[in-house]
Amino acid sequence: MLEVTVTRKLRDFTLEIHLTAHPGKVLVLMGDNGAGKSTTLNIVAGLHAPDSGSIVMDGEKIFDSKEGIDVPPEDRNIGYVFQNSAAFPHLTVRDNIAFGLRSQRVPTSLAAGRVDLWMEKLEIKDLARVKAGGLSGGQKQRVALARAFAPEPALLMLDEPFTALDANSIRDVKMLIRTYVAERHIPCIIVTHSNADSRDIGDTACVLCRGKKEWEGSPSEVPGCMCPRRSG
Amino acid sequence: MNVTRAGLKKYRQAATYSLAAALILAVTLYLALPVVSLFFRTTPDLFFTSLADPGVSSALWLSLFTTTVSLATVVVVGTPFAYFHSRTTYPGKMLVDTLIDLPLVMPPAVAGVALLVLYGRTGLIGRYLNVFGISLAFTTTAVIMAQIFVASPFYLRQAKSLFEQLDPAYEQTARTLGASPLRTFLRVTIPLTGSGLIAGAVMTFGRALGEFGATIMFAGNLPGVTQTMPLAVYEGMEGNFNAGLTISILLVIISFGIMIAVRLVAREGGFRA
Repeated sequence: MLEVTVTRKLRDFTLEIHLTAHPGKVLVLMGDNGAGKSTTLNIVAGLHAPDSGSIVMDGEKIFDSKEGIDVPPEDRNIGYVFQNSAAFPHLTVRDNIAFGLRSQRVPTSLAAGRVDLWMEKLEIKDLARVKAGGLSGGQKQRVALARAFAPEPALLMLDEPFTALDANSIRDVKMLIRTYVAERHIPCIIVTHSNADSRDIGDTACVLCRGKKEWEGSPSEVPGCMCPRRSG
Repeated sequence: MNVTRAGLKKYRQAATYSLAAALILAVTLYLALPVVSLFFRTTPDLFFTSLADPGVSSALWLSLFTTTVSLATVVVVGTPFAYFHSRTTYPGKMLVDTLIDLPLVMPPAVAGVALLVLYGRTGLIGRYLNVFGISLAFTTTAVIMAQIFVASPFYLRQAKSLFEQLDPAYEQTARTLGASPLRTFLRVTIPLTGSGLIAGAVMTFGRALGEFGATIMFAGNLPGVTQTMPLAVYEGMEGNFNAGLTISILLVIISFGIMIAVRLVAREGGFRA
């Protein structure tokens, strides 16, 4: 379980957000560009510091402004896939996926098995020795997903994970994410613009608007655009 | 009518091509001829004889030693400096940026005088160092200090812009995967900027190797102590012309090698997605 209550002053507005993500469930974050979705993920990951608030993961505080707790990103055990996938271009597919396992000092024999498993599941095994810099957008995205899955994080966060994939792959990857989250019984937050993606994969949907939660409910009932447009 | 127009077009095209060819030839010759003439002025025999001249070899070794130390210092101090500089905002950052660029436009002789005024025996800092028996001016250390002052901007500017351009998502992903800041820097940041950093380092090495003005002002021209290759060329011109010529040729060969190295590294690089 993840509970986030944070505020952070941004350039145009103040992000003021309260989120709860339940184990085994997928929480979908929706909203216009610049509504604060990616910033929220960055705050949870520990890459940006909120001005105040607290983040509690499985009963443990990983951030608390009052108590001065701020666990660094490398110790939060969160699998985070960025919007542009950020597959390390100088490393092979295998080394990309092993990166987290090596950083967390997982024994080599165990790590090798897990790397193989995830390459197989994401159908990139034949690319094992290829440097990620030369891959297509969709392949990079698969590498990034495998890399996030392999260290078995306590929370999964995916920023627009389907944009680079083709229709068939999207279906497979959605299935993979659902199974992973359910089997490992961890919470998952997915940022997406697409109502269809949200309905397919989400258990709960949250619509953000200028840093505030505007709506929360079932993904099948997400209302149309409700964010008051800024008048030019 | 049509025939004349077609003829005119052909004539214009020919004129353009000839002009282009003449320009390319003129520029190439202007740059290449002086360098080539160096090689015509000597014979292999003469070249190798003066290579054995103790003055020549000591200048060669002093140059290689000082430029290597200068380069190592610039890379070891400059890489983390450029990283922090590009990733943080602090008051006076603009001023620091300007100071980094300053040695590029400042006459090297002025840089040498400035170093002398600061570190010399009666200099602002030098007079206090002198109390402890430390004297920097006119030593091999002074040669290295002059080289670092004049040549470091090539590396610093390059490193700064590489770090600024690197997509932060790579480093951030590495952190979320459990890598410490140091591991992230060594395993992600450095490999992704490596080829550019090497190109910057090679340019710094080349500039340090050719350093003359600041060195002669701050370190003097003492054979075996501060007389680097460019200074030895200068002295050679006043007496031992062949030695000067031999060192000049050596410097040309090294510079050429440096430029080729930069080209190769630049072509190898380009991992950025």
